[in-house]
Amino acid sequence: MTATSLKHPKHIHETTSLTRLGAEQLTLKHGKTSIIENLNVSLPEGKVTAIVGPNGCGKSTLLNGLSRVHSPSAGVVLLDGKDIHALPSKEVARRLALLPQDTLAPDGITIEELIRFGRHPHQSLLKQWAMDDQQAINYALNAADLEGLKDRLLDTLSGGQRQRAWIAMSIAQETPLLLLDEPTSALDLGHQIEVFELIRHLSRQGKTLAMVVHDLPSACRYSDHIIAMKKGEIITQGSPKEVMTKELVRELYGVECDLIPDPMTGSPILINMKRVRN
Amino acid sequence: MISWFQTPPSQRPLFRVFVSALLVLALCCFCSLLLGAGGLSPQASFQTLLGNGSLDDQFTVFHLRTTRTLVGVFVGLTLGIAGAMMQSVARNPLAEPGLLGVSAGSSFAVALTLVLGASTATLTVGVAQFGALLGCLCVLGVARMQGQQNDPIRLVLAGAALSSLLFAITSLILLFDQRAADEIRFWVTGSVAGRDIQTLLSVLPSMLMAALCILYVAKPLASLALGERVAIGLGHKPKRIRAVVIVAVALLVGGATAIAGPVAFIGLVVPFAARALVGPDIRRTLWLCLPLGPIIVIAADIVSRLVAQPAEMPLGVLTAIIGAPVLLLIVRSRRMPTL
Repeated sequence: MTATSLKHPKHIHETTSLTRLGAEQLTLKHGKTSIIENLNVSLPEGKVTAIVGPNGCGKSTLLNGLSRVHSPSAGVVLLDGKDIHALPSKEVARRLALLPQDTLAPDGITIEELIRFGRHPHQSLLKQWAMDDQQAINYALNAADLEGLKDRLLDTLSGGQRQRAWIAMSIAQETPLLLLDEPTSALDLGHQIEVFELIRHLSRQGKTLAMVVHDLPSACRYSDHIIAMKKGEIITQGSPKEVMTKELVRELYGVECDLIPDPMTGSPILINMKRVRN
Repeated sequence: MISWFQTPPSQRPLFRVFVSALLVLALCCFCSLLLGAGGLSPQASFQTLLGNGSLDDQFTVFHLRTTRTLVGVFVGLTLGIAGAMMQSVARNPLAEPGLLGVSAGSSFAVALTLVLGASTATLTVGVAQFGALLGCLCVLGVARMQGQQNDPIRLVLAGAALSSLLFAITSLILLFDQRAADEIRFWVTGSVAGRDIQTLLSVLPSMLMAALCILYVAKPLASLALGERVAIGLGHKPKRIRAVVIVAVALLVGGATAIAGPVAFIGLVVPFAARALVGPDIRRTLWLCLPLGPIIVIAADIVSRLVAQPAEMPLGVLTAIIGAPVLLLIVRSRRMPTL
């Protein structure tokens, strides 16, 4: 992304210092099974947090809980110190954007039309469309490097472009917080990097981001903070260099490996991996 | 013109398509006033419109046919809109009030109240709407209970089962009650003929309510097409959206059934055509359903007057003849359109 020189809306900077998202004593259940119990967590501000862990460890459930999609059975999710479920949903949507995994693209929708949906939280029956809506959309198109493609149909784009369009929709929401559920899971390597670089770019603009990521090296490379989960609990968290050890990899995935620092960036790389019994 | 066909439906200028449809509707209404099963020729009808007709002719054109046309407009409007809303909320291009048992629930409620002693004159629209609501909840409940991924065919099967059951019970009731049978016959096959303008006026307040519901819910409903979680992320509440849509659908279908009986397939054909013209965004589809519903009902009604002269074919029969092939077309299409 070459967009570092972009002017960004002032409000992002104004609000980041105030916004906090976290949970206290959070219990999330699917039916009667507890996925997460008594979990305390908070997202460091202005940073990219990666939530990692094996399948079924509850990382997506946590993200759904934090984004008020999944209501807690006990405990509370706090947005700016207030219970997220007590705040009006629209108000939450002006501070917290969510890009879930199960997005659906209607037939024949263009990129710009998709991004327009991001303005819903800022509109009402009486205020349907305003100048600031168009500005936000132009900003989002620019930030996601989609200006030349805005009238293209979503289903004619590459996977990476499509995912960038969805992220652009959340950018247009103009929230200080953005949560992404496996934003790169269906993408090939090039498109993954495309999306991760956009995420880094947004972080430089002052957004607080959290994402569920499957790929450990990418999590290390593109995040500032890692939350490692297993069986609904946070095993460890901290900067990638601090937390990423061969012991952690073994505990999470039952995989033996060696870690070496990336010669270019210094972030840990996994080599020599083999499966072991836990 | 060629470029129009090359443009994807969702990118066509809505306003132009809408105005063209309005013009077609005006033409249909005009034909509806001129053509009929009776002895009155189109020329004589036209003279009557210009004010040169006998009293009898004036009665036919200005009272019978005008009312009939208005009822047609109303039924097409309500069923088309209701179908579009239901399909959008159920994410299923086959979700149609007639197929899903909403109309059946409505006419069942009407039959039941008639048997219990009400007469067609005292019958309120509310009964039909309440029945529609119950039908709607029943079939959506059954389809949801499966806990399966939303399977379009499953929903239709549940609806077909509910419809047959309700129509069977309705017929059974009528076996035992001859008086009701005479009054109800009309509600078993839909028709826009011989209706009173007063009935039409009596449903208008609830239609206003439905219109407000739709105004409130159209945009959230459009966002629901991006996925349930996306909608939540944008600050909408899917449960509330669904509830409002179901209430609106019940009001609309109940209103239509109270006036014309269960007319099947309109709610399927109209949104299908609207989507083919302007794409699947519900806000665009709804706009186009406004003229398209009346066009299809009035056109079908004109044909139903002409094919079996001097008798008339019931409208419900004709809409089924048009609708069933469209249903097969949708089911057989290689890829179900995603809503």
